[in-house]
Amino acid sequence: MEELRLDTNLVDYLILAIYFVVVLGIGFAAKRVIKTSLDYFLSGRSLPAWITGLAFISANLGALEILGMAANGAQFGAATVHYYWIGAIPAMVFLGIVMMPFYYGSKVRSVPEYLRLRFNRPTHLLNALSFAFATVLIAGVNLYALALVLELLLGWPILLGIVVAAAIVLGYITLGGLSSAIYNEVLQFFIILAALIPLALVGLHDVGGWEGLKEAVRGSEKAGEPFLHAWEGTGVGNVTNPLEASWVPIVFGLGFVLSFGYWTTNFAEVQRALSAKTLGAARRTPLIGAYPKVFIPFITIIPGLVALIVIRGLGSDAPNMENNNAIPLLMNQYLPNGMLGLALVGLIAAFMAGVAGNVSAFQHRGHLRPVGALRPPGAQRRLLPRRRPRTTATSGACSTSARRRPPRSGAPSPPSWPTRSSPSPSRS
Amino acid sequence: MADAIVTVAVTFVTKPKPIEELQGLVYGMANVEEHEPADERVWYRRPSLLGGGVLALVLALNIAFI
Repeated sequence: MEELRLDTNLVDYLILAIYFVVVLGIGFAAKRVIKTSLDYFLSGRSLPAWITGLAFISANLGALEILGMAANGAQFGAATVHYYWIGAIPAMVFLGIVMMPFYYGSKVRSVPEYLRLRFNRPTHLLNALSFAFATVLIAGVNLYALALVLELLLGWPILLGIVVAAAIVLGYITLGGLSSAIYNEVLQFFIILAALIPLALVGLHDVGGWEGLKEAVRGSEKAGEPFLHAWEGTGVGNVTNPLEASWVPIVFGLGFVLSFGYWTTNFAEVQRALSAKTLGAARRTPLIGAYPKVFIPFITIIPGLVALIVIRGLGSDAPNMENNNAIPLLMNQYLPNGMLGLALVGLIAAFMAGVAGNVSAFQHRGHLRPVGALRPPGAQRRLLPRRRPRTTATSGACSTSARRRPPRSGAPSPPSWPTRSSPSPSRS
Repeated sequence: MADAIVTVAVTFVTKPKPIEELQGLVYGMANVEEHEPADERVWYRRPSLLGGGVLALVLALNIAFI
């Protein structure tokens, strides 16, 4: 059994602390520019495509994804690329080119809202409820998984991990709305890369480079030659690849049914595109996100394969030896203090990206009750939630949203929400 | 499979939404921006180019790791 407790010291904790301060700082900075509900939920439709594009991919790049894909790398080898190259990219391109003109062009603020306009209210309700349900579950799973990792690596009690992570995510989202979530996601994206790229490179170097890795994988009794190929052995009736699937379920099941269903309707990601500043920027959002997505398998699958070679007993029943621990085990093996802190921040950032993406989407769902039929053009500012905005509180533990409730009665349509700096009633 | 059957069955028993109400909501009637800023038309911002580029990249990588 390998000890998984990381050998962290003050430097690592310092890096962690700096990260938390920066994250909340972004929340405060974003808060200063929020004037209307459109600002809060869609960043005022003002963001450039590269920001929304990176946020788009970052909202998807949760830690479950990173740890899970590294585990898949250790278990299935190169075939794991199908989750990216056929299971994501074509659908992202389809979203940008075909779907986005009418998603963004219809000026809706959410996918369920779109369904109401396109079909009817029951459709809206069904989708909103199922989405809210799934979102709460996913955010909860992410949070719990983060707490498990913190316990494993740092020895924090589970409850402490959940409370700290939830408080920070809710803190920055409540403060700065979607802008805050999006700018944080861009930051998280770069931190995740800064943590995983060195890990992949050091690991690769340790096993003798790319050729050395291939050699070792071929020689390993758990892996072998099939682990180095994505498509070999996927012929119908002659399935010999590690995924044990022919090309039919890979192309039509993963590449078409699952992937198109996920990428074109998952509001946690689509919301990022809806907040872009122009239709062109909205269409480019998933396309720009697709480019980093192409290369992410290199920093998840390669560490997975390296772990398969280097960590003895990985994937066995021994304690802490599950494939899911491939990345934490490698971190422990290779990274010096300081770097360890950064990698830890990368993992935490990835978890928070997963939680935040879902919380901000859920929050959005909670507020956007149908606001009448088609609204008059140019009147977006007045389309405000009539209900008291407390979804953040319901979707998590603490919330500062109580402070920013709109006036409850009186004005039939409150001029703007949430705002402290600009109470100007003249706007309505 | 069951999903496909239900989808087709439901489509036949429900009334279609009148076409006038679909403005901006379907691909054929999308709202195009009236005055698209000139800097949106630069070649490297064209969605078809960006999308085609990433598909070509993926194709090449799939062949490399076949």
